[in-house]
Amino acid sequence: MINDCERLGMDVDDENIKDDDVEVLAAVEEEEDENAPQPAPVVYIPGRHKLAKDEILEADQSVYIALHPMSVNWPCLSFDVLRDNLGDERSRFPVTCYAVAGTQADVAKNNEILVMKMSQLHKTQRDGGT
Amino acid sequence: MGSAAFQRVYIIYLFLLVKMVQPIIDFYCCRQRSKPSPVALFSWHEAPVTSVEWHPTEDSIFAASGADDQVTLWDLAVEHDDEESGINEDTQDGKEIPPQLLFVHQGQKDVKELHWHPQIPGAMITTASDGFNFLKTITV
Amino acid sequence: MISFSPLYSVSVHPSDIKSLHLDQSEDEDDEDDVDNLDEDAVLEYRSIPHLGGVNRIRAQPLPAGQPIPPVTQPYYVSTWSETGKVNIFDIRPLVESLAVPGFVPDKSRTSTPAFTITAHGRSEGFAMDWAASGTSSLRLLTGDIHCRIFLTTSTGSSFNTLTQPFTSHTSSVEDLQWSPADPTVFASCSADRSIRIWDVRVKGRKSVFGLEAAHDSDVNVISWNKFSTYLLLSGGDEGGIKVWDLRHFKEYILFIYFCL
Repeated sequence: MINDCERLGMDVDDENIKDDDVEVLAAVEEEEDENAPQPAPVVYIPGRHKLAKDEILEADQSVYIALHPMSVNWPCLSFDVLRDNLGDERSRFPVTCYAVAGTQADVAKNNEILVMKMSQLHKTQRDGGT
Repeated sequence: MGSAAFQRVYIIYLFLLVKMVQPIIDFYCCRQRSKPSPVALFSWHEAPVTSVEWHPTEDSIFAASGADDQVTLWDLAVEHDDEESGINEDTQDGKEIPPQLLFVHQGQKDVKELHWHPQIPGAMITTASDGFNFLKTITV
Repeated sequence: MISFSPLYSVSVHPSDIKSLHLDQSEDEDDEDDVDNLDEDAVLEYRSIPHLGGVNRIRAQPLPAGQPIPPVTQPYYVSTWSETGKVNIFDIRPLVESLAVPGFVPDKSRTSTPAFTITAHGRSEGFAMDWAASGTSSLRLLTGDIHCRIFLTTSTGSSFNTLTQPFTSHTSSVEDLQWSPADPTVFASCSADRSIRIWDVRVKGRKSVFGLEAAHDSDVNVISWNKFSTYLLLSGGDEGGIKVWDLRHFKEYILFIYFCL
């Protein structure tokens, strides 16, 4: 019954989306031309590797056909993909897609629903770094 | 009949009843004496799993995201190949990689939700504390 | 089988590499750095003010393989607000304004909810799932942190929430999923570590079957396979991912029906 469950009063997800003290975050892109030869990349496994001060996490662009980070004004805890009229089984790039997201703003009244259009999503694939 | 005799008949009656019903109970319940277990179990993520979603068109593939900042792609149809064991299953420090694990995507912090795009094969979008990622890997 | 090393997206390098963020742009059509012109993603959006953080947002399902409804018809999304309200908005005009340059959306249609579910009172929630029968008959399940699940269905141009909730969970309802095969069946998972199967036709609104201790901790998320409709995927707070074959459960369901 409802009363029993009220007593439980459990907090569910931790919505406090804080930045942790991880040193580096977003995927970064390699420069096209590098002077020094690269040491062989070490595969990073969270919880097992700790980034040293001079180390950054970097996406291996050869294993993505496309990878595009994007951000809006507030973090969004949830979103959904919207259907569109651009056809099914689209595999040609660049692609366009639509999504809807809800924000987690600083105060209740600053929140928004964002109906988003992501376009110019090109292939980003590079062959394995040498 | 005396009450003792009545009790005896009653007990025999119950006994026969249970004997009749037992096979029916066994058929429905006791194929698995312990509670049902999952057909697959993956313990890869090291923090709460925040989202799971089957692929929209491939019935054996799914993706998962976790508070450990990982987005993982899985294919149930991949089987453990005994010949290959030991070659590609260990990482540098010995953590075993399940053969069903196709891909690990990282780069975001605290991934909250992921969705496949139903109209762009292999494409997926994720949301995390640092924004969205649109990605399509070479695996799916 | 090809010897195929597992693929990892990230590798660790010493940082003599200059870091360049892959571009991010917002609002209008910004073209970004010249260097990466061919890789600039563009993000445009239209916003609707919303009171309370959005715990979850879900769009109604649309029939596959067909164009989306014309702009005069709704495209509903629902939001679970931290305030305890579930709002249903019609965003079709906003999608049109993004897709068709020059289209001016009717703000009165989009800025206020088409319907608000108040049945949960002040209890917030996260669990939410839509299903559709045909193009016009929509049903929405919402579950809150106080263990209740409410069903809301479309009625012409509006919605109606059934007064009596579905109650069998003993802790927060974390996720809901309609069955892809049976329109009256749905699954739920909860912080009480269980996964439950329900049939909306069951009097008393109790679950048909409960899989207790499905995970070592809270069960956070579930996903129902649309092709192999007996496969249910679940993820837990302990980090485990499990795949369940519901045909194992049917025996329990049959047994319960047999006993009734």
